[in-house]
Amino acid sequence: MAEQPNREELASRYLLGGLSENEAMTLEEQILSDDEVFENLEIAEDELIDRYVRDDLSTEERRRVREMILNSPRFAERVDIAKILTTRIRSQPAGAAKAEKKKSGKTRWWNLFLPTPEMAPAMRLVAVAPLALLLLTGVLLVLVWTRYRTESQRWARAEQRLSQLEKEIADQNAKSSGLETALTQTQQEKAEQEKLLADLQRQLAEQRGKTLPIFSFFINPGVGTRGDGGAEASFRIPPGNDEVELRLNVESGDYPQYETTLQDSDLKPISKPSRLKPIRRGNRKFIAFKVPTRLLRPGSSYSIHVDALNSQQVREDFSDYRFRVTR
Amino acid sequence: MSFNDPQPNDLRDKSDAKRTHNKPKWVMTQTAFDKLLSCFSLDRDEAGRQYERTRVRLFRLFEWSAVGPADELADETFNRVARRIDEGQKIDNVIGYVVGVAKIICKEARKKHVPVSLDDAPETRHRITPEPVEPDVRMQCFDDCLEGLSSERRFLIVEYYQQERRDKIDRRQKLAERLGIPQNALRIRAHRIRMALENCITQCLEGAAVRNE
Repeated sequence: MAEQPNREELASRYLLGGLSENEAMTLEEQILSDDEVFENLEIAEDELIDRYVRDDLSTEERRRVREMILNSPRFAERVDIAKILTTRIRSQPAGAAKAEKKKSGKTRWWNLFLPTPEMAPAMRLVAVAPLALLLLTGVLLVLVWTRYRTESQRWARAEQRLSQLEKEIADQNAKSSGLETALTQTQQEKAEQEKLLADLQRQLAEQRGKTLPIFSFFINPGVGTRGDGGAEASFRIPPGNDEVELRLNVESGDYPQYETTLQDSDLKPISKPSRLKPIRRGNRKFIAFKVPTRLLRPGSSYSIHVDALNSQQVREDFSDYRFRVTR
Repeated sequence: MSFNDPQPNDLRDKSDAKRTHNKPKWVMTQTAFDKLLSCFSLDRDEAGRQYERTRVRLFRLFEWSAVGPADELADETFNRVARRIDEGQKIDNVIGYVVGVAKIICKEARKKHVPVSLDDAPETRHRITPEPVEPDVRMQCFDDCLEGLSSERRFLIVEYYQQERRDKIDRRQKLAERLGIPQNALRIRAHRIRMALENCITQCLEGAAVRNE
């Protein structure tokens, strides 16, 4: 800052021709190469013109300015404008209030929020604070509104998606319900089939249980087994059988029921009478008389007396079947 | 000015000598101008900018020297510099060289220059004294251009030039304090606003002149 008055004075002296040749050449080189120095000379020119217009120069200084005016139309024009500047500004009230008051009739509402030029910088900050607050609030409102709009759009999209999903779920449920019905029906059918299968298996097992452990022989009436005309049928009972089934040929009879009694070789009954219905299998017709093996001793002969019962349950002597149990 | 300073004897106007020997007057050629530009910068655009800047400021130096028409003296300066470069002169500091040539031309012009008396001067003390002036085109242009400034710039320029001589320093000091800037910054700011205002007025007056024609 100490250099500044010196530079101002140097510039002023240069314009008035008061520098030595060396000083002037040094300064001129700076004027051509240094923007700041050049601007300082222009400011010095302003001030020289102002002093000229205000009649604040010596005679010799005035002569020099006038020579500049004569040699430079630009300089002359500047002097004219400086006179207007001086005249018009002096006619203005102090503090430039008039310039502002002239515009006061046209003052816009927003100027109420703006700092006036005559305010100190600190006061301008204070003055501009409400405007800044207003702007900040506006920006915040815009941000909030933008966020709200974005969230609303996202929410609407989510609701739409949810509705779509619910519809899809309902469709799936409907399909699932149909499938469940079909499944239930299938399961019922399966259960029924399983039950039927179980019954069949049980029946088969019963059948097997009934048939497999029983050893059976076919005996013709009055003769031996297989009806081959022998005096007495004979057979061996395999071990492990609790019962033996004796199939007694009743092809010659036509009775709905027969009553059988096991007799020993002396024709004494050794079992209680059993009532049996005839069974037709192929071209054969017989009654199945089951005898516990404990009643039959190997090496012994036995006889089965059969009485026929007609439809009125009247008993008739039908036939005797003799057989021998071998060892 | 420690190197490549032009020597006065080399750069004096030799038109008389040329006429004596019937040599044609040297004129600027494109080649010579290109060589001159290359002394400012090897980059053509940058060289052009530096040339224009130097020319404007050289013009201003001649205005301030007040020894003759500034534009003619500036052109003559560049012609002589270009001629010397075209003739093979090596120049390291073109600005210093231009200033040196300008100083010689200034001296030559001063010798031919006849000082103007105060009575012959176009402006007199009575005419420049501020006084009420009827509104005319200049006033109207001034008012319009002043109104065209921003309120801050208008306030500053009016306040800066408002004060009378006696209290000028004090008031400018207070204005700088009020604006929170150093005095020199205030001075520069006022100058720039004033330049803008004057440019506006000049354009306004030119427009008015065209309308009158």
